[in-house]
Amino acid sequence: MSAFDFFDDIWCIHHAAYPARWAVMQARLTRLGIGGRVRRFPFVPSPADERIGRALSHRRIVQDAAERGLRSVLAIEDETLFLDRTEEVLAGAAAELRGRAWRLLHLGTWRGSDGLAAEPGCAHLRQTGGRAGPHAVAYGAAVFADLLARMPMNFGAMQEYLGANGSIDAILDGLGPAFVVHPAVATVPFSLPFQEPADQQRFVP
Amino acid sequence: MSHPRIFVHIPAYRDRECQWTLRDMFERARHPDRVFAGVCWQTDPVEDTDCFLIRPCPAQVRTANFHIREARGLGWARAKAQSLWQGEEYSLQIDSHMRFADDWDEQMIDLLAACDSPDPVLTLYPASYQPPDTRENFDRPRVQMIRRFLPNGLLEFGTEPVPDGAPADRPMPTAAVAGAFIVGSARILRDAPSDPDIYFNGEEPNLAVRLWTAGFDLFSPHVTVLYHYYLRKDGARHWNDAISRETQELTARTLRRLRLLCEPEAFPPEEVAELGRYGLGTRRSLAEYEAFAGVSFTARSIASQARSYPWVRPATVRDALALPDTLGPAPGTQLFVLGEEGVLFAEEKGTLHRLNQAAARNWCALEAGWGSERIAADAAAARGITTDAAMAELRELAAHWIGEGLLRDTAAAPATGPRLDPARFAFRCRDYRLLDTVVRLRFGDATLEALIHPAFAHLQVDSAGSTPAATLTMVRILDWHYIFAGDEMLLLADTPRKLVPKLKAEVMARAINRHDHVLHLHSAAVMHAGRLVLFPAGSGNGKTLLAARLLSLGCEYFSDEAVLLRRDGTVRPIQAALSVKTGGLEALEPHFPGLSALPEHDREDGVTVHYLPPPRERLPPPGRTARPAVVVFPRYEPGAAPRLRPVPPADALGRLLDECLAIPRRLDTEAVATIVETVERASCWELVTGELDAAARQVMALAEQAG
Repeated sequence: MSAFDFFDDIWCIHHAAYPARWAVMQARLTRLGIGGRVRRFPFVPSPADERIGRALSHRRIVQDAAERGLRSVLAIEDETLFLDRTEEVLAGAAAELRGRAWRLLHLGTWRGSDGLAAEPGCAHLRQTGGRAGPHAVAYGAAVFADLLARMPMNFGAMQEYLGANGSIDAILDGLGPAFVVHPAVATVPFSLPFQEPADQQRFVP
Repeated sequence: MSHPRIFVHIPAYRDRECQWTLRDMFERARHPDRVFAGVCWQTDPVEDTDCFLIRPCPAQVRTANFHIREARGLGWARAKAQSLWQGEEYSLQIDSHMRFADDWDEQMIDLLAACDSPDPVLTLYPASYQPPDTRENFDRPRVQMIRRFLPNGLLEFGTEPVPDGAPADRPMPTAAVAGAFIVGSARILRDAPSDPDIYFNGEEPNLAVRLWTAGFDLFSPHVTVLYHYYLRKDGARHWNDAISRETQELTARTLRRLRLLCEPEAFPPEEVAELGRYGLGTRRSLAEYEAFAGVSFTARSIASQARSYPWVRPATVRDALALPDTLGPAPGTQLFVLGEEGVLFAEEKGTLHRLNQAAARNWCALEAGWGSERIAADAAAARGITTDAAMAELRELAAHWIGEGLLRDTAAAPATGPRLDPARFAFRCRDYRLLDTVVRLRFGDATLEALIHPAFAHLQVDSAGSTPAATLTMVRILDWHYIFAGDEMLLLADTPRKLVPKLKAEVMARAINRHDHVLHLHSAAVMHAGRLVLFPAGSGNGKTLLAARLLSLGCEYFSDEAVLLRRDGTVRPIQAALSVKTGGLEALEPHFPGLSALPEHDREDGVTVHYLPPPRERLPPPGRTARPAVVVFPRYEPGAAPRLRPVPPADALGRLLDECLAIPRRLDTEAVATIVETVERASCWELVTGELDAAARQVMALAEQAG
């Protein structure tokens, strides 16, 4: 039994331009005990602007989940690092989520989770307050329809949409209340120096 | 429109190809009866009879004929050709040496209809052909785009392929124009006709700005409809037949007209009015074009958006830009008022941004905390424009300033930097001086310090108590290495080998930006026998090898890769460590024992280098400056015996400018005089190098012989 069993499906979005990342990522997922469960989702190519490919990849994962009638799906990007006590923290967060009509659950943010408002009665859930991060985010069924209606499905339209709305972070922030796991259990190398200082060395490379 | 007609206007200067161009045009058209041409012929009736071997469809070809002595350049000839229009619905501008795709007429009209615009114009440097009819198609659809500002201030255009994965199934927006192919409604001939005072270079930026401000949307077609003969080495040119003084005057007039068009605030209104019908359009503002294209004509800067696909800013972004009333100057941004204009100084980047009168007024209002509506109303009243137009200008200006990091929303969450716990990182600082700039390096641990410091050690200074111009922080967290400048992450690397090259580039950039100079050359420099020798050359021509070997022979070290020519014609040493590529180690190791054992570093261009600190005894005394006495253009040919040949001053000037990396501000007469005088005074040579020692000794002999 794994805390990740809380999610009906898990995808790892892998960018074909960085083949080495996949083996590293598989090792990380295996350490978490979910190596056999996570499927590879090919990053939608968008060489001139990765924001487009990132947004389209997330959208297609959500579309797949919606079409299959899942209750939730977790999307992990292929550079994600996990905290050394991810299992324990995520299990606590999952327990606190049960019974709530949650929409988005971020496993980490660009700047950790300290300083964010705690969800009443919860030790492991905080409100994102506009500080989300797309590198490890779970989508609940309650957000599927809204997200699919807002985010265009083809390249050109997504380019225009991002032009007007910024990055996927801003789009996710616009989807309403969201939670972030506390302490943040996922990050990426780019945002590692911005995480809580006490946790920076506790992510596993 | 049931039977649209196309008017094709062509300037032909003694071009034999033109007759074949016309024949191909009619033969390949789907509806040749709906195609009409206007040709401005400029020929010598005696010498150019072979321009008229055939006369295709004479009833549909109108001509304006001139002797070559009457010719006044490209813009003039295009205007003459355009004057032959007789009401056709479409206008196609081309050159006189072109080939056409099958059904090109129908294809162009279909492509225009496929553009997402009520007033589209298609434009693109065409694919290539060679006479009689060898055609080369593009591998990928290409888009016209902005490449750079030339030293004379003209905007240069080029084409780039659409990246793999990006859709290319319809015409693509562009802010650039190709003079050899412009097609759209015949409104072009009314609202953006060719300016007869544009001699040659300058036509394309002139038309880009005028077409766009006249309300036309520019697109590059995703399919090939035209071919151009680019390799016309034997073709006649006006500037070869005209007297040099005349072409110089025409060129000078072109540059002035471009400035009147693109920098109108710099001239009295009566001078701008000289442009008449060849001025800006009336449907959009120049500021809107600048925002769309990502260029600033006054600052001669090109924004990052213009560097990557799709090269222009979509309208949705421009219109969506909110202007909160809490916009204010970013920290470290300072306005200096110059009369009614101003200059913004961004301290962290060390960059200057010139503001014209209107922009300076807007900036002051933002500084004073005025809301956008009040600023727009004030500008509208002051300048006699509508509030909407003033607001649009303000929005574009603000977008540019935000993009440049000069302006920010002061109410937004404060920018938050890395969270580097001093208790975990044993930070140690060292200060290094390059030119007059002191940069502080802050090492997160002793390992980083041991790796980085040796490449900068010869620049170290004790600047206790003074404030460095910048502080760069290096840390390692888990398997990753980072460089920060304040809150800004400059580098994220998975290996420490990338740290020193990035730091060297950052330190040099800060030093160079703060140093007053008129020309920044990609060049090495050493001093021998009291004479300064420059080696301007691109990467891979052996300039570092040559400089290093000369140091070992006793020369003074001035620079490895950057030379800054100052207004007084002198150069100061920039003594950063020499970047020796792996291939140069064997040649230099005997002269610098231990060089091969120095750490390897990976540059951003993928080249592995060793950083060779210059020997202390080869560093010039403080305050040393020198005028270049010898300029050697090195060219590396493995194994070749050194060959030396003099380079005439005019050629040397051109080659020097080819190696020019930046001109920090608009050149004025004094600055140009400095550059010209430098070339005139120096003896200039091309040196083919292959035998390092022999080449070095030849350079030393040149320095010894220089007057």
